[in-house]
Amino acid sequence: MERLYLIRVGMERFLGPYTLKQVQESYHKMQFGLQDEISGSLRQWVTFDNIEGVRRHYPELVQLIHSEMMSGWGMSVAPSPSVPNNARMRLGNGSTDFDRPLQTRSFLYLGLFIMVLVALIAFMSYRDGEWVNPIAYLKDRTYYQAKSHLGDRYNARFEGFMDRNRQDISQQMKAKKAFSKWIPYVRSVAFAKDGRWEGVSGKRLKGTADSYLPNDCSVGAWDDRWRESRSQWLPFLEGRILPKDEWARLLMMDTHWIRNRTPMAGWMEPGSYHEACLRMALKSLVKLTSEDASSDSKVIISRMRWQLGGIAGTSPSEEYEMSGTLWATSCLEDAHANDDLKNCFNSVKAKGAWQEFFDGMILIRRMALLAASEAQLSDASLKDLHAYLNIYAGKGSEMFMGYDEEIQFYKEVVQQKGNVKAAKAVVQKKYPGVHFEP
Amino acid sequence: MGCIVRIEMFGATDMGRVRKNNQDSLYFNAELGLLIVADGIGGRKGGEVASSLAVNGIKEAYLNCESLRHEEVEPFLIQSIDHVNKEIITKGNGSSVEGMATTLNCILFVGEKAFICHMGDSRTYLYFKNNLWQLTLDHNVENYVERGWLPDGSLAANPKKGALVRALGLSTQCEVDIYELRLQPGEILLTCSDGLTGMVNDKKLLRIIKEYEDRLYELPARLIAEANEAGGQDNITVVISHVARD
Repeated sequence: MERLYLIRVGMERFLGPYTLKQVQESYHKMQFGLQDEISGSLRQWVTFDNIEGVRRHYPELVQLIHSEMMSGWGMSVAPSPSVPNNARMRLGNGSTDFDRPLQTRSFLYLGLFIMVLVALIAFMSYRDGEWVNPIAYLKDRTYYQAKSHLGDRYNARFEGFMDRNRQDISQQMKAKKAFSKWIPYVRSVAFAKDGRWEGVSGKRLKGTADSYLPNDCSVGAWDDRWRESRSQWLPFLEGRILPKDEWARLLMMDTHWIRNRTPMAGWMEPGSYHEACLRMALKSLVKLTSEDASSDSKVIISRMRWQLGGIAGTSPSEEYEMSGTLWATSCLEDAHANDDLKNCFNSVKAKGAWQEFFDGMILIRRMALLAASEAQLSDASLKDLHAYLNIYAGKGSEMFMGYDEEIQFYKEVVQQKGNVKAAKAVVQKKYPGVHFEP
Repeated sequence: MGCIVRIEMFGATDMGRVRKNNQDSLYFNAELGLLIVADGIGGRKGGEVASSLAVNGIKEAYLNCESLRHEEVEPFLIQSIDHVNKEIITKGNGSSVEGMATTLNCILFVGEKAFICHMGDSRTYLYFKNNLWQLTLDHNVENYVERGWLPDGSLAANPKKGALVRALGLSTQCEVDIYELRLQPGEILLTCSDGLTGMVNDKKLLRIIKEYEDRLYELPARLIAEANEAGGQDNITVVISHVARD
C-alpha cells in the first residue's frame, strides 16, 4: 500500500493525496504552511507546527519541518557568497608602483580567487539543509555523503552507497564516536535486507534493546528458530502451552508498547530492534512457507503483519486471518473500549500461563483506555484506575515487557486527582522518549 | 493538470434496528453533481422534519440556480444554508416540533472540484488507493475542547462528549464548514450519517470499501448491513460518489 497524505489548508481546502515527496514539492511551491494540518490514512490530523504531535504520529515528516519549514520559506540553497566591502577598499588603497592594467588584472584575479574560495567553503559547509564544519566534512566525507543520499527516507541510492562503502564504514565503526554516528544507518541497511552487517556483530546491531529479544535477529537465525519450533505452534495457538522461547515472545510483543517508544535512540527505519526482529522473522517465515502452508503458519504470519502495521500506525487488514491465542492478543491490543475486551475471549479458553498473561494484558489495556477516555477522569473512573493499579501491584507483573513508565503515568493520574493532561506533562518530562498513548 | 472527470453516485438509507422511524434524509443526483445527507437530531422532536427541510431546501435552491462558477459556489452554499436554517427555526417556533435540528453534509461537484459543506457529525470520507481520510471534523464538544475552541471545563459540564455544537436549527447564527477538494480519477467519497460511523469503525470501513471497489453499486447496502449487524442503534444513510475518468 502506498503511504499517502492529505493536507488541510486553512480549514478550507484539501491538497493531495500526496506521497511524502509530493508533500515536500507542494511545500516548496508554498501551497501550505506551518499552521495547516496533515493526515495519513486512518491517522490523526496534526498541524505542522505541533512538533510533538508530528514526531509522535508522523516521524517521517520531522526532517522536512526542521530543515525547511522551521528555517524559513525557500531556504534550500546557500546564500551567494560576496567579497566584503572592506577587502575591496584595502586592495584599492594598496601600492601604485605596478603599471595600471597589471594591477587591475591582479585585483581581478585576487577578487575572483576570494570569491571562488568563499563559494567553495559555502558549498562544502551547506549540506542537506544544515551548515557543516568544512573540516569535519572533509574528514568524514563518507558519512556526509551517506546522509545526503538518505535524504528524508530510506531509498535505493542510499542503500547502494552504503553497500559500496561497507568495508570502509565497518572500519570506521571501530572507533566509539564513529560507531554511534554510523549505527542507525547500518541498522537501517542491515534490517532492510537479511539482518546482518559484516564486521558488526548481531549483539551490537541489537544495542541495548530488551533482553528477551534474541541477539541475532537475522533472517538466517529466524529460519532455524521457525524450523525448530514447528511442532509447538499448534498447542501455542490453542493456548495449551506458552513457551518462553524467543519466537513465542516475539509474537506476544505488545504493539502499543513498541509504538509508544518508537523511534528508539539509535534507530531510524525500522524505529526499534523490536520492529527489526519482526521484519526479519516475517521475511523468514514467508520464505519458508510454501503455497500449501498449514493454517497455523498463516496465523503466525498474519500476527506479525498485524504487529508491524500497528507499530507503523497503519491499518493492518490481517486480523481476520488470525485465530486462537494470537487472535485474542491482537483483539486486546485493538480494543478501543472496555466492553470490547470481553469479546476477545469468545473463541479461546486460556489457562495457566496464558491466563496470567492475558490477565496482565487486560489490566494494562484497561488502564490505558481509562486514561485516554477523558481529559479529567470522573470520580468513578479514578476509583477504577486506583483499583487496577492495586491489582497490578499485588499480582506482580506476569508480562515480559516492562510497563514501568506506563504504571508511573497512571499513578501520576491518580496523584493529580484525575487530571490526565497534568499527569502526562509530569511523566513526559521524566520519560521524554515514551509517548503515553492508548 | 487538466483531466475531465465523471461522477457516479450510489446511495441508500435505512431505519436501523432500534429506531422506530427514519430521521435521516438524503438526495443525490450524479447528473446534477449534488448530494445531500441530513440526520435529524435524535432526542429532539421533529428530527425527520428538520432533515427533510434541509435536504429539500438545498435541492430547490440548487435547481433554481442556472449555473455556478467555482467562485460562486461558496456564497451560494452559505446563502442557501442560512436560508434553510432560518426556515427550520421559523417552522419550529410555536409548533409541536419546536427546537428541531439536523446535521448536514452536502457535496457539489463543479468541474474538477468538489465543494463539501458540513455541519454536525455526519461525515464525508475520502478513499484513494487503499487510504482513507475523514475529511470533515465532527462539530461536537469533545473536538471543540481538544482544539481549544471551547474551554477545558466544557467536557466536565457536558456529560455527552459527542453533543453537537453546530447543526442546522440550533441557532440563528449558522456557521458552515465548506471545503474544496480537487478531484482525481479513482477517488471515492463516502458521505454518511453517524448511524454508520457509530457502528462501524474506520478500519473496517476501509476494508469494506476496498473489497467493493469494483462493484460500488453494492457498497451502500453492504455498509448498511454491516452497521445493522453491529447493532443498528441509529438510522443509517450512505452515499458513495465515485470519481471516474470521462
